[in-house]
This record gives sequence, structure tokens and C-alpha cells, in this order.
Amino acid sequence: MSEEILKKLEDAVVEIRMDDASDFMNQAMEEGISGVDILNKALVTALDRVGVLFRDGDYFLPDVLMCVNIYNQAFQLIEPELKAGDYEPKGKVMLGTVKGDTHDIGKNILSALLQGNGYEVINLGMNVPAETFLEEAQKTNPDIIGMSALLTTTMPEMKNTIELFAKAGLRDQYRFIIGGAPVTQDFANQIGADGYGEEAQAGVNLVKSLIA
Amino acid sequence: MQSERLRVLSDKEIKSIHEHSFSILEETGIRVNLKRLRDLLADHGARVDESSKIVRFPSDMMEKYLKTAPSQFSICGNDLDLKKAISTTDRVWSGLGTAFRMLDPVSGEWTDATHEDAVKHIVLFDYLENVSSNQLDVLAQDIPMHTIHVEAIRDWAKNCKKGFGMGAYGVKASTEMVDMVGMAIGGKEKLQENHPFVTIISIQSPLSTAHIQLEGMMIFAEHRVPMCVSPEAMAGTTAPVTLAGLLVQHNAEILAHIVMTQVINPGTPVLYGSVSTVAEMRRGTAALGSIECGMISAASAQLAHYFNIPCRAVAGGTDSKIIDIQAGFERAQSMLMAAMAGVNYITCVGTLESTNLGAHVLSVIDNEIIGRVERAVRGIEVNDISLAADIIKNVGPDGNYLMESHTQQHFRQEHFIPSISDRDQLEIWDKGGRQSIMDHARKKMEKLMDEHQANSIDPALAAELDRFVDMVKKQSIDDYYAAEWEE
Repeated sequence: MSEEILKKLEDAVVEIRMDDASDFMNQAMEEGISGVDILNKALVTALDRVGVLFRDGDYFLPDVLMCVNIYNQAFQLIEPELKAGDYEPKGKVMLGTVKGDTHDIGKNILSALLQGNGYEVINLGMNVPAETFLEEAQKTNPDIIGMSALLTTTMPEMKNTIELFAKAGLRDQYRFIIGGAPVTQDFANQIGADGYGEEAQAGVNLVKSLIA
Repeated sequence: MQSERLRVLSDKEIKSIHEHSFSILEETGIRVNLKRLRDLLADHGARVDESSKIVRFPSDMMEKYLKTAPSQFSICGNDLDLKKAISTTDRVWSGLGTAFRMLDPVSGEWTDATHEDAVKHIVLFDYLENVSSNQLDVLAQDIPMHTIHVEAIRDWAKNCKKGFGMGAYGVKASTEMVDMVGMAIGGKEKLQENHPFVTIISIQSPLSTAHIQLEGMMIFAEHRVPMCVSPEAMAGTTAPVTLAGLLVQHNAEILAHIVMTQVINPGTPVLYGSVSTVAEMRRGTAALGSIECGMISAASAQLAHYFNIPCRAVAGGTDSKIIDIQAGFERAQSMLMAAMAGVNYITCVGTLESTNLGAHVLSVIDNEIIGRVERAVRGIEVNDISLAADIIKNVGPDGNYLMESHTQQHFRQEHFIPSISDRDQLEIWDKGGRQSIMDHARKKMEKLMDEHQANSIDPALAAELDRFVDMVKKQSIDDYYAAEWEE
């Protein structure tokens, strides 16, 4: 019985049926299925399938983002139970678009994909000054700090941010990753970042390789 | 709304062209190179001069028989349930004969088309979602001419669920085509109502007819096989150099042929066909990649629709011999013009060199161009949901729409999503091995070919088809000529 509900929930997430997903989620919880089982046997498996559909070209960004959205809503319902137990996210990633730059579509895609892959994401939004990255990092203690820029004129802010962390003696506590249309691996090397991803999926792979 | 139709002629100009065509048919007439058809036409009001074989068509006779041509019918596939409507407002895309050589796009070398190429073409078409049927598009050079039609129909019956067709080639071949297609769909009588086979009746410009084509016309009309009556008039050689002059003449030719189909069997499905274009004025050859070809196809749709008759026109032709920018823009420009003008049966897919040279991978690329063209014709849907004012207010300044469910719900309908055009950024494209549309198309083609499964036809039918082909193979080209009717 519980397996059947979990399968229905998984299908509803994959097929982007938001109301059905919500109904099956409630049913699963009413039946007393544990949060860990809901997560691992329905929600994570659903996003694995979505990942395959995306890779094969059947799903597009809006599909993936809607699936992740449904996943997040479901996740919030079981989060208290998970936190009370010994559930740990795979890692914590802080993301922000640097100061002066208000282009954050790519960063938001990465944020959604990371959540869908079991990472906790702290999304600082756009136009984020170096000081804010530093303050928030000290508060939330992420494993990875990701910065994005779409303009060549705002790219130097990435360097400034890393330098501010270095001055505070905190550079080595975090891994810095960068991305955005004008950003290249060469630039990442120049400013001493720990990694670069040319698009969102590459960003997810990068995070996986850095945290593993 | 649906995109406005492209109009290259005003209402007044359409009328004027028809009036001139009618006067040419009444005064000059056309040469009808088939005795029994001349006799039939004479019985139905035409003025026949037997010594010159000239048939003149009085306007009242024209009016009468143009009215019996159906304004709509449907074609189907080898699978009779695969129906597609043909009318003055619908549109289907098909192949176009006849490539007798095939290009290897990688080496740039060409070879004679083989039987294997013909089969590959038929199989490939079965999977191209924007293409409804194919004709005998690839003319295999390793099969004797007098058996090519039966081999092709057998290949189609065994491998393809969509429709098929080919030109009319005399009494014997045309009869065999009808017999064999009838066999494939479980009885010749079914052809009266079901149309898995569409034939091309080529018109000999200026103002004449081809004997073997008329024989085919009489046989196909009897069985109500849909016919595209099509001239390939060339402005400057076989038609006046002016486009208006070409239209007057080719319109007279087409209308006369439509009337002939209706005299033979009133109500038989027929399409107003055009393969007309301009002549290449250095060499006198046909230039199917010309921009004027697109204009003539567009004008043909307007002229056909005046009589409420569906239009078939050529589009997607190119005069290039390689898959280059010329091949790209020439095919796209005429496909867009033909579709925007409302041509109802567009024959185009997969050729170079004015349709004489084929390349399998081009069919996959044409399929993608058709998808884009269909999107343009569909136009911009405007309603409360598509106007999205609420969504715009919700998302607000500096927001983005990627995460909106409105986006997810509508992007597949609103955007044409290419399957082989490359849209990646430079770095990603570089990392992915710098793939071009040709690479993507080849990959898609290989996947389709790998997944292909032959039709599961009754072994008794397969044996019957084989026996029929063997019977035709034993005959000779002399038998073909012996069956001809008096010219």
C-alpha cells in the first residue's frame, strides 16, 4: 500500500501534476510513511527520473524547475520530521549574483537543480556586495559559495569578494565557484576560484565533485 | 489569429489571369495526345480537331467541370486510419521526385541512387513527424525501368505506414500501380474511398500533354486515385518570360487537365499542381531554387482557391549541389512562401539540384524547417491566458518567467522547439565536439533507422506482392510499349 502511494507521488512529481502531488503527499503522511522514506523512495527518485528526461532532451528547463518546485513544497512538509531525525543534506551551497549585476536566471536554475539533487541552498539573490557574502557565510556556514555575473564589468566583483574573504582570514574555509556567460575557466584560475561551470548542470557536477 | 495569408496577386489580377487562360483554352486550345480522351472530350462539349489533336475548351464546359472537382477529400496511409485532410485550408507536406543520384554529404561525392537508397528513404519518411507521405522520390538506377514502380510499391507496403505516390507512366505501369496498391490495402475497390496513393500527372508546357501521363490519368481517375496535375513551365523557355504570362499559360494548362479528370470521372479528387519556375537564362534549365518559384507557388494557391480546388505546389527546391547556405535559404524561402500562401499539398522534401540529387540527411533537416514554417503559419494566439497580464504583474520588475507554471504550461505550444538546430553557446558547443546541424541530423536519422521495424504484414499478402513483382519482372519493356493506347 505504502509503495503504491509513493509510486503515485513519484509519478505526479515527474509528470508535473501539482495537485495530485499534494494529495498523494498528504495521503502518504496520513498513512504514517516516514519522512525519510517519502524523500528517498518518492521525491529523490522522481528528480532522478526528471534528470534523465532533461539529459535526453525530453524535458526542458521550465519542466525541471516546476518539478523542483513541487519537490520543494513536498520537502517542506517533511522537513521538521527530517531535522528531528538524523537526516543530513548532501551539503550547503550559498549562491549570489555579484554587486552591480541583476542577471540571475542562470544562478536560479543552478539553485533549483542543486535543491533537486539534495543540497541545501542559501540564495542571496542578485546585486550582492562582497560584504554580504562574508556576513552571510559566517552566519550560515556553507560548504560552497557560488557567485555569478553576466556582465564583463561586474566580473571583477568576484575577485573582490574572494579577496575580502582572504583579508578576513576565511578564504580557506569555503570553496568558491563561479559562473555566468562571460566567465571562463581561465578567469576562474586567474582569481583563484575553486571551480567554474559553463551551465547549470555543469555547476551541479562541480558541486558534487567538490563536496564528495 | 492565424497568420494572414501571403497574397502575391490581387483579386482583380486573379480574375484577369483566369479570363486570359479561358480565352486561350477556347481559342488556341491544348494538344491532347490520346485518341480515346479526345473522343471523350468531344462527347462532353470540347471542340476537337483530330488532324492536329488540338482540343478547344468552351468556357461553359470549363465552368461546368471545374465545379465537380471536390473542394476537400482526405488522403491516408498504408495504414488506412492515418488520415490527413486535403482542402483549400489544410496543409500536408510530402516528398518530391525524383532524385536519381544521391549525395554523400561528408565526402561531397555523388553516386547513382540505388534500391537500398529508395528503401531507406521510404523508411525515413515514416518517422519524420512533419511529413505526411512520400512519392517515388528516389529513382533507383539499379532496377530496370519497367519494374521500378512495382518494386517501390512493395517496399512501401512492407516498410511504411504513411501514404505513397508516383507519376503516371503509361497504361501498363499505371494499371499495375492500381492493382498493387489495391492489393496492399485489401482490395482495389477500397481505393474509391481511401486514398493512400497520390499520383502526379505531369503536363507538357506549353499547351500540350504527355501521352503516357494522359493514359495514367484515365486509369487513376477511374479508381478515384487523387491526382496532382502539374506543369513545370519555365518562364523564358516553355512559358512567357514574365511571371504573369507564365501564370496565364500554366493556369490554362492546369485547368484544362483538371477538367479532363472530371470529364473522365466527375468528383475524382484532383489538386491544382505547380512545379513551375523561371528558366536559368544562361543555360535554359529549370531553377527550382529561385525566389520566383516560391512566388509562382504562392500565386498558384490563389488561382486554385478561386475555384475552391486544393493546390499542390513545389517548395524547398534548391539549385545547389552541396549542403551549403544556398541550399538552406533557397529551400526555406520557398517553403515559407508556399505555406504562408496556403498551398495545401507541398512537395519538397530532401533534394538538391532542382530535385535531381538526393541526400537522406536533408529530409531530416527539411522536417525541421517544416516545423518552423508551420509555427509561423499558425500565427500568434491572443487570449486572456496568452496575454499573460496577471503573470506580468506578479513577476514584476527584475523578475523572471522561467519558474512560472505559465511558462511550463505553454512553452511547447508557443515555441517551435528545434530538435537538430544547434543553439548552444560557444563554450558548450566547443566542449560538445563542435557539432553542426548536419551532425545532429545524421544522429537523428541513424536513431530512426535503427529503431525501424518493418510493417507486420500478412505473410499471404507479402507472398502475393512478391508474386506480382516477379510476374512484372518477367515481362519486358516491349510489353510496356505494346499496352499503349492510340496517341
